[in-house]
Amino acid sequence: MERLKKIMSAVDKVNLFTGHVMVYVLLLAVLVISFEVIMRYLFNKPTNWGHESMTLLFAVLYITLGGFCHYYRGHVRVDILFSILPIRVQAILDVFTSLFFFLYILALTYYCWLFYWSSQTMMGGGTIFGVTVPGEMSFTDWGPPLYCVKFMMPLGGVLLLAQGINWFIRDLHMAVTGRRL
Amino acid sequence: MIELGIEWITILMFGSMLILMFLGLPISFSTGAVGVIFTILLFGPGAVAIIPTRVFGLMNNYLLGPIPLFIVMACILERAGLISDIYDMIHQWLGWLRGGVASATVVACTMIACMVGIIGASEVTMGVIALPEMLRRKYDKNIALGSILAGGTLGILIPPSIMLIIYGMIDQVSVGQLYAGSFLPGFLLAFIFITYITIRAYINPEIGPPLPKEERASWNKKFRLLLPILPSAVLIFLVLGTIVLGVAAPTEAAGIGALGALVIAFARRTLSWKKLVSACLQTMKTTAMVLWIMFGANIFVALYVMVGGGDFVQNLLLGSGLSKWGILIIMQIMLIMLGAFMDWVGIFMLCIPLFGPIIRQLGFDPIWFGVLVSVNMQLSFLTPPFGYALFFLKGVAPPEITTRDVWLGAFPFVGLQMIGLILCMAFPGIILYLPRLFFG
Repeated sequence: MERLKKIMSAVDKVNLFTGHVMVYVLLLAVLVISFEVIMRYLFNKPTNWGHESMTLLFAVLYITLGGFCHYYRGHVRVDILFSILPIRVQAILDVFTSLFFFLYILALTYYCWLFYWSSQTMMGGGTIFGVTVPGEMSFTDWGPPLYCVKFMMPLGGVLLLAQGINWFIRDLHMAVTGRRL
Repeated sequence: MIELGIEWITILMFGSMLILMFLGLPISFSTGAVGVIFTILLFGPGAVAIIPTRVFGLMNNYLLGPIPLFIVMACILERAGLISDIYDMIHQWLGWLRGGVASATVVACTMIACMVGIIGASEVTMGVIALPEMLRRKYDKNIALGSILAGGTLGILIPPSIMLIIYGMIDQVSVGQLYAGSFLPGFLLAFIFITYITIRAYINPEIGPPLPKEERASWNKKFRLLLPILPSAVLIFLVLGTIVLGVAAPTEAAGIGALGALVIAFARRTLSWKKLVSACLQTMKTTAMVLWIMFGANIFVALYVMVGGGDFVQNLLLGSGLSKWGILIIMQIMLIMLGAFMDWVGIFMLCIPLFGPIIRQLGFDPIWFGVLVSVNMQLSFLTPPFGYALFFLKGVAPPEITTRDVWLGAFPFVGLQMIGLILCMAFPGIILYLPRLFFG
């Protein structure tokens, strides 16, 4: 039991840490797009990487923060029926509906992994532990690697999944014993 | 793999999604789960492989950049104390009016709405500053709560609005034109709210006493209160001006807005690193919530359109024998009903891909419809049981304010918003005047 609690709090910490890393990603994206605008409109020297790098930074931010948001139970729900129920019944309902959550996020994570892997092995890339990496590059002038952004998709799925398992255990505990874990 | 008629698919997909939602599964996961299950049922497990492509398409979308950028701008300005500055200023300028503190709240909310694209910031801050103030001055509870609730929701309509950014992306119309179109409806609504408050206060002075003479500031002080707001006003004028005039893309303007907010906040020495991090974390919670709803709802609706749902809804509405105005009104009623139960992001993702083509076929202006839908969605923040604004305000209100009080306070303002919506429908010029002026 103690061990389980330790693992659960580790999962919480990983998602909080992801959130704090993304603070810098967000601020970096703000600086990148502002730099691009200033170069473009004031100095008439647009970069070929400003818009795309901002977009990719945000892509990473969106997908990895699913778990961070779920840590706060921030994914908004319709709680007309829900909020008037006793906490224990809420927990029972959460245990039941989380089956659908797991189905969705498992499918998403698995297929995102395949999606990432096909990007990693594109254009003659592949074999990770024997190294020789590069894979899919963007088709733009700047041509940044896309495979590392796509890698964030299964990663974001796993982070959300882990946080979902955390909530599932807490809800199950509440449903069975009527006490908070 | 099952063969099903589109009628059955419609009933089963929407039915199971609604059941999951009512059981408390978040909207993002309900839509996504139903999307995945029906993809497997209708096309087999291999077809799920298309879903990551769709998710990546949304993630990697330049047009969605303004969502985090405008939200972080709002959070920074709020943490830097701008919202309370605006309130203090308007409070002194309008306090002499009967019901003046409530009217000042609406005007302050309208000004804040011109700087933020979401409702949380103004709803919460006003609940903390303006509500206790009005209660202390013996304002009628309903008027006090209603003015904050209704004023705060203007944030989602008046540019820089996150709602219109997402609408523009889904329906592929110009965000600049949508922005231009939503100014007048927003101001019209604020005007309706203030008129209502003032009339009520003149009929019965008890419910909204003006500021006592000794508390009114001199002209000198009134002008001095304008100073701290000036830099942000200039910033927002630049940001919105460039978008509405089509000089810069919304993402570019939003980026400058976020940077400008940082600069202003640091220059005022009211923003510590800690506050900045908390503003960013708040931004990311909201952004992640919005984007994950978009992922899930996109999986759902893309499947539904693929199996012929778009044509089905189109034939159903166009073949109903109603006039084009009849169909429009049916759509508005459907949106109001959905809005009472669901989050607007989900509604947009589910309904706009279906309604957009119909509106064009009926010969309505897509920009006009977009703003009209947004005015409608603004209502959804106030309609119980699922009204964000109600939760936000209840969360920060003093304990003697019950949920029932908050609902009752919102009630007359829901009616006023309906009037605004009907006016925008009956007189398309309210929405279309500015876009035509700027874009010809």
